[in-house]
Amino acid sequence: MSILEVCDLSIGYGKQRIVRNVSFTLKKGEILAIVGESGSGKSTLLRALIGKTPGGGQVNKGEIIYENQDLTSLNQTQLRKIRGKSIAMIFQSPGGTLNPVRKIGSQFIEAIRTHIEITKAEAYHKALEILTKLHFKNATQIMEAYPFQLSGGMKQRVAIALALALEPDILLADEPTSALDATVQKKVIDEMLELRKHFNTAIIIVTHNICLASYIADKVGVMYLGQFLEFGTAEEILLSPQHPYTRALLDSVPDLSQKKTLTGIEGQRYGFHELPSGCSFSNRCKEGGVSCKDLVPPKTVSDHGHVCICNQLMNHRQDRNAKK
Amino acid sequence: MKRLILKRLLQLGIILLSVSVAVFLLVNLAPGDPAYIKLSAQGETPTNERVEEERIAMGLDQPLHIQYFSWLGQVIQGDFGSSYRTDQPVINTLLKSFPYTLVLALAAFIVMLLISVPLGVLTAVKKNSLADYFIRVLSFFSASLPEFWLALILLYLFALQLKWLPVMGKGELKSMIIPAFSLGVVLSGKYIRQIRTALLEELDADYALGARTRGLTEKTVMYAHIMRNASISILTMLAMSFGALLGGTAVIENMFMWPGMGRMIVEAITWRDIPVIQGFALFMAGVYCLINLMVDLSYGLLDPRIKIRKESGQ
Repeated sequence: MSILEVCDLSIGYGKQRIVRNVSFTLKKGEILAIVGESGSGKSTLLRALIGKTPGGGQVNKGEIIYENQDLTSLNQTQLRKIRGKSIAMIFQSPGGTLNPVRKIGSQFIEAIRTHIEITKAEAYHKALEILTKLHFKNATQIMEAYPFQLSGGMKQRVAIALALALEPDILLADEPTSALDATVQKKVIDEMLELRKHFNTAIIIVTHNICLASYIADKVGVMYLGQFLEFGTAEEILLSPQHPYTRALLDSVPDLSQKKTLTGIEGQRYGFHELPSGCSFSNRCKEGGVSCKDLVPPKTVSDHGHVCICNQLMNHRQDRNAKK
Repeated sequence: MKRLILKRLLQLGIILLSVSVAVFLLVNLAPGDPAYIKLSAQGETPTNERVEEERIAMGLDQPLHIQYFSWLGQVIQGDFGSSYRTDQPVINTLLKSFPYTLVLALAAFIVMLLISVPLGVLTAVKKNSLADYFIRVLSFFSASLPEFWLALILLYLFALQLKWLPVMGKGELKSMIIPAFSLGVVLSGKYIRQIRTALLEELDADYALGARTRGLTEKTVMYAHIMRNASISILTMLAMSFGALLGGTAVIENMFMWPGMGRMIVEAITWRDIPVIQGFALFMAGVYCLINLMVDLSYGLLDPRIKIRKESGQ
């Protein structure tokens, strides 16, 4: 059963549309990774899901359906009741969501008591419970600590615990590991996987790291200039990518076993103000034709829901079949 | 914490010592013979012989460094010398007039707080709204007003026309209202803007966004999160304003015949009453340093990062 349904969502700043016609569904306990370069609209999309688009961005079109209501039609007071309780969020800077001058315990208690009417002592116990469940060894000490007394990885884990204090249905994670070093990254990611196991939390994780996405996600959306150019299961995206951009992204990942030269993606992407009428990747695409720039690419949806937006999709398929 | 206080007190001593050198030299390098000035201030005819006698009595024939050290020795014992004009010990004059200035400055400070904190918060929360523009224009005006002009208007209105308040007084509460308001309103114009800026810097901080994503009300985010983080810079600003108030009441004190330090120092300068000027300068430097010290120590209460760093002695 799907818990969140995003239909044809567009978000704009004035005349510029930063997120364009994005659609996806998320099931309970499912992990969706949104991959893309910085500035592709990933974070804006994520923030829009809790009605907190940064700096003047507005939903122009589309719906975000959660529990039979369209979140885009709710006012801030109604959204506030969903934020933190049903949909929680963590950010890139490790523990950046924690107030530096307040004890961690007091922030837990405050967050819990915002949504449920219990005493401070009860909230304190609830917080301890969450921390213990997430394998924090010295939960009471952490409650008494200030954020700066913890290491970066620890802070991020505490931030996750805080986001989960009310056992939300959905956790939004905006590049949660980008600022951590590799060993800590793995720990945080494993913890997120465990969360899903324990609480059946659905997770949307935004990242520019396609390896991370493949490790954690069930489904992957590849975002470029505000569009999902390709959307499908993690397996399909990684093993048989259909869109030239997805292939280019995968070719940019270093692989030690093959010692291949990294190709990278050449050229500069269009600015949001100079988007062509056709495909937005056309100026960097190695597989595209002359007409791609002007021809609006069709959205191809396969039988099991794999989505790809490309003019050349049919040609590519034929090419590859011919090679085989 | 103890070590920190000791360290700060030592620093304070060094600062005061350098101020004392500056004060001593400044007055001694100023044109005019102190002995001559002293004699004329006391109403005597300064004949050549009398001036020469007085110079020796005052120790002015000694080399400069000996003069300085004997002066410093007295100052350390709390003896700032005697006024040329009244022959009263300077320390008595200072201690007599300081409470008046302190009370006036406190009253002005409270007026300033009552105006600038709520309005500063309001303009930050309602950024770019009509109220924000209106208050900002108003604060710009009040910051540009000379306080004596505002005082005159208030005097005309409330003392002469409405007769609610006395024109001047000798330190009672009622006579303090107009001077305190004149000082406070002018100062608040500046601080509304500074408080607004301090809060705006924090408004979009990660922790504020985080608090919002946890579903906290905008009010809680403002008061329990943003204000606490901005409090250090706001406190610093306010403390400095208090120091400025203590030293900056001279014009208003003279207008209202307020028996505080501002009036004392203007009188002393008119008469070139050197010991009083020296005493005042040193005293004010000490007060400034003390305010600084208190602000410094209070940082630890507001920001645990500072407190814990200090305690672990780093």
